Amino acid sequence: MASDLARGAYSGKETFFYYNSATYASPTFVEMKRVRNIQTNRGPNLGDVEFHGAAETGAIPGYKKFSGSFEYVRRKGADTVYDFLVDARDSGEILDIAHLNGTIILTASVGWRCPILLGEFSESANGNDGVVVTIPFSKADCYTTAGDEVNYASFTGTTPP
Amino acid sequence: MITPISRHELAELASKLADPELKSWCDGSGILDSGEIVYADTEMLSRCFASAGSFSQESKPKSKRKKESKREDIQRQRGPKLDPIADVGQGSQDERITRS
Repeated sequence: MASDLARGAYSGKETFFYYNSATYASPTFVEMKRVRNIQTNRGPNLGDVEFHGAAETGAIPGYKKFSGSFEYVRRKGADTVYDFLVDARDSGEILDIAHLNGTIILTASVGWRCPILLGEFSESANGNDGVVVTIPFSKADCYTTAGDEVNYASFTGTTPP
Repeated sequence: MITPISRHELAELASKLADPELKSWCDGSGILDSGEIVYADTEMLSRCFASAGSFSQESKPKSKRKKESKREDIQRQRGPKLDPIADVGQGSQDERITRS
C-alpha cells in the first residue's frame, strides 16, 4: 500500500449532516443518518444595472443568500428525528444545522453551520422505491439572546479531549 | 469542543440536576433513542457534571471509563510502574548537582 498517497474526491455518503438539539451557544449535535442528496446554494444575488451611456448591462453583487434541500428516507415505526423535523416545520422553529465532510469529532472535518427554516415537505411513495421526503430550507433571519445576528458560517469539527 | 455522549447518559445526568437552566439544556439534548450518541458542547457538559457532583468519572464516555478501570486493575496486579524517563531525569539532575 502506498502510504504516501491520499484520496482526492469524497462522496456524499461520506459527509455528515447534523442538527443542534440544544442551544446555539452550547450545542448538542445529533446526526441525521437517514438523509441523502443534500444540496445547497450560496452566493450573492447578481443585479443588472443599465444606464444611458452603457453599451451593455453589467452586474453588481446584491445580498448573499443561502438555501438548499435534502431528502429524508422515512423509517417505518417510530422515528424521533423525522418527528423533530416535522415539529420544526409546523412551529416555524429555527433549526441550527451543520454539514461536514467528515465526522464532527475530527478537527479535519470542514463544512458549514447555519440557522435555517424548513419549507414545504414533498413526499414521494412510489412502487419499489423507499418513501422519501424532500425538505427545502432557507437561512433564517435570527439573533442570539445577546442580540448578535447569526448567519451562515464555515464550521469545523473538534477532536474531543 | 464537542464530546460524544449517549442519550441515556444525558437523561441520567438531567435527572441529577437541580439547576433549571442546566436541566433544560440536558433535556433538550436528549430527544433520541436511548442508545443514540449525540455530540454535546464539552464546556456545558462539564458544568452539568460538576453541578451533578460527579464530573470526574461520568464526563468520560462509558467505553473509555471501562478501559481505564481495566487498565487500573492490570496496573494494580503488576505493581508500581517504573518510569525510565523520570529515572534518567533524576540521574542527570544528580550529576549536575555533583558537578557544581
